[in-house]
Amino acid sequence: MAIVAIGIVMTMVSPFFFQAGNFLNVARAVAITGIVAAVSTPMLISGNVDLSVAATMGISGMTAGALLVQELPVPVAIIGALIVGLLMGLVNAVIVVKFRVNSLIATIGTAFIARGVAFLVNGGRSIFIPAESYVALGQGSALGIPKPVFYTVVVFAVIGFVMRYTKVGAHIYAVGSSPEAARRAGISVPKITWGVFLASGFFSALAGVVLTSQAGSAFPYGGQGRELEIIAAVIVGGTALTGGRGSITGTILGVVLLGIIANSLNLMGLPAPYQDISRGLLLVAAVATDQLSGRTLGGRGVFRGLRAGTEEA
Amino acid sequence: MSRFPRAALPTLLALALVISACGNGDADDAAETTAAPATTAAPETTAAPETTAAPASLLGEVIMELPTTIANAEQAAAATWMLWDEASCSFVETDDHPDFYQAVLRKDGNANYRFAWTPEDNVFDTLIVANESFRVAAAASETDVTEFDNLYPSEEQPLVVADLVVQHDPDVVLSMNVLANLNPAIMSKYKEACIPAVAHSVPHEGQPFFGGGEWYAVGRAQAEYLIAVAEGRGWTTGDVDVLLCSHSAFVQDRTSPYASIIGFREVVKESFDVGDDNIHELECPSDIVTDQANVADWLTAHPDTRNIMGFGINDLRTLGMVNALRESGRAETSIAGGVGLSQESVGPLCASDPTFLTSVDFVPQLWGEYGIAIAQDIAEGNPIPSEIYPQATVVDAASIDQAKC
Repeated sequence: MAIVAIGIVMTMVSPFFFQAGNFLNVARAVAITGIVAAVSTPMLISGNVDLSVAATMGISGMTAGALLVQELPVPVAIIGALIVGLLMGLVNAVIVVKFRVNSLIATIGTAFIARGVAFLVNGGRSIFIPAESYVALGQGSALGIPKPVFYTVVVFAVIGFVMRYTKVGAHIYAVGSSPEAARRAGISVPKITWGVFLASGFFSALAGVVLTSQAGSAFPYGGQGRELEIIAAVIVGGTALTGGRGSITGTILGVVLLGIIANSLNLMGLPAPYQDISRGLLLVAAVATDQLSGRTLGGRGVFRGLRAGTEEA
Repeated sequence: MSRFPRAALPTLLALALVISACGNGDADDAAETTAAPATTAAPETTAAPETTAAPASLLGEVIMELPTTIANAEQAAAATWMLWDEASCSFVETDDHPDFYQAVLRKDGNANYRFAWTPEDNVFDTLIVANESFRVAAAASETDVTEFDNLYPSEEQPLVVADLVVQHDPDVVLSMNVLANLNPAIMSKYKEACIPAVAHSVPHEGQPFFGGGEWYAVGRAQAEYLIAVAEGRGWTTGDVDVLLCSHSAFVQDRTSPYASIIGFREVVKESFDVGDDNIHELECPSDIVTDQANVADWLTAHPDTRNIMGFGINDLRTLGMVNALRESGRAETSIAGGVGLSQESVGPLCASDPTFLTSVDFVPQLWGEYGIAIAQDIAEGNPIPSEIYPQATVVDAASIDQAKC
């Protein structure tokens, strides 16, 4: 409804809004956020959160850049970046599952570590990517659609399929709703936790690859600050911060909504602070709605076990 | 070069202060010392002018002589010169100065000076180079220089850093802070602690200013370069829209890097007769994806623009702009310049990119040498110009040092 309302208002306000080219602008602008938001959806549904996604984007992008500068083949650079992402997911999972550290705290810690390592990759400096075939992955269009959008669509489709049509998806919902009930039902809560963190690392790294190919440069601070925007998009899309509830469709709408808000304010020539205000109001409204629907932030999900560690393991 | 926090060494601190005080010298000492180290002729001079006798120096041999924009007697006479006055804990103006200024980095020798450097951050490419330059210069000159990171865009950390510096009590602090509104609070802390402070990047009244780049002049130079290219391509005033990628975090006057935007805007209006309606300033937070998206949205809202002349307050913003121009199919009818000669511009310039045409080299690789040399002069009691700039140069595909490619 919000998207439709904004669309109607913007069509009246700006003649440039309701144009195919502008929608492609929106799609390109949200593509990277979308990839990570997609994988953050099962993460939040499972009752966890991964705040290291942006740092993973940075370190994986730097990995790809560093490998490309060494004139290694593009597939090697991409695989290297994805492996780094998987390692990030692995480390997060170990900390959360084995050491029973709340995922919020664990991933804040690993985010700092990853960001620091990203800076060490090239002495803190960004890397201009010399491989044209790599840059071509993120720049330009195919069939008139910006290439990053294709990757985002595929990621949404894969994760959406898993969540909707597979046993794993059902287990993720079950674990997020009630780990204890899921355990009694024979679901391995640790396995689900391992899975969502590995997926988060992998797809965040993919987003880092797309980011660096789109920019033509790798930055140690790549993606910095984007984690909150990503979580905002997921929550606005109806995923409960408390776990157990949400959908990929909702996240797509959340991502698009935030993208359209930014795009609309740009088209109107309004300065950035108004965008921040709009995003903030929307997020607060979404969470307030969540609260009023009977779920409390202190009850389950991410905030569960802040004092005593998680219960999943 | 060390980093804070470091172990407190009260005895050495006291010793350093005593030696530093001796190093400031007095008139009697000056007569007994040799003249200031010989300097090579600065750019634009035909012969090295005579310098006034320097106060007593405990510094060692000359390591490097660096050119500045105060290169001859005429420029020296036009400049305001300053001297640190320990009694009033402030810089005072002086007419007793040499006929030119050349920063000369010397070995610390027996001076045991301790300096502090507070960079904007350790993230931005230019700063990474500059900070490394301080480390290299500190090692080469055997000078104790401690780095305190201001963590831009934090508005709290610069104040925290100022407190740390005061606690550290260096002989001179080189205070880099691009958030101009914080400078009064920062400088008042240094004045209260009686620590001579050199403002870097953003000037502050009453303090000597070491400008990494003369932002205003940089903006003007980039506009002149791009106008020449535009004219060469046969663009006329009515055909051109100017896109400026800035950021609201900067104070919008000539005391901050925003001065480059002011300078650029002035030149395109004066020399190319572009009207205000055709000059568009966009919010670019220096996050390349957002920068690119914001420019892409603007391009969508302005489909009738024919030729675009772009300028970003740094190379990263310009790269985001150029990416948006490319994605929108406007790269062929656009030209753009950046600032800093960072990795984001080196790549396009080395590849002779048809859109990203130019950047400005602030020589951050020598900021450390400049900064420590200036600090040595202050600690020694030498007069220095109130504004000191390394000679920044406009760089394009033809002039870029191929070793960078």
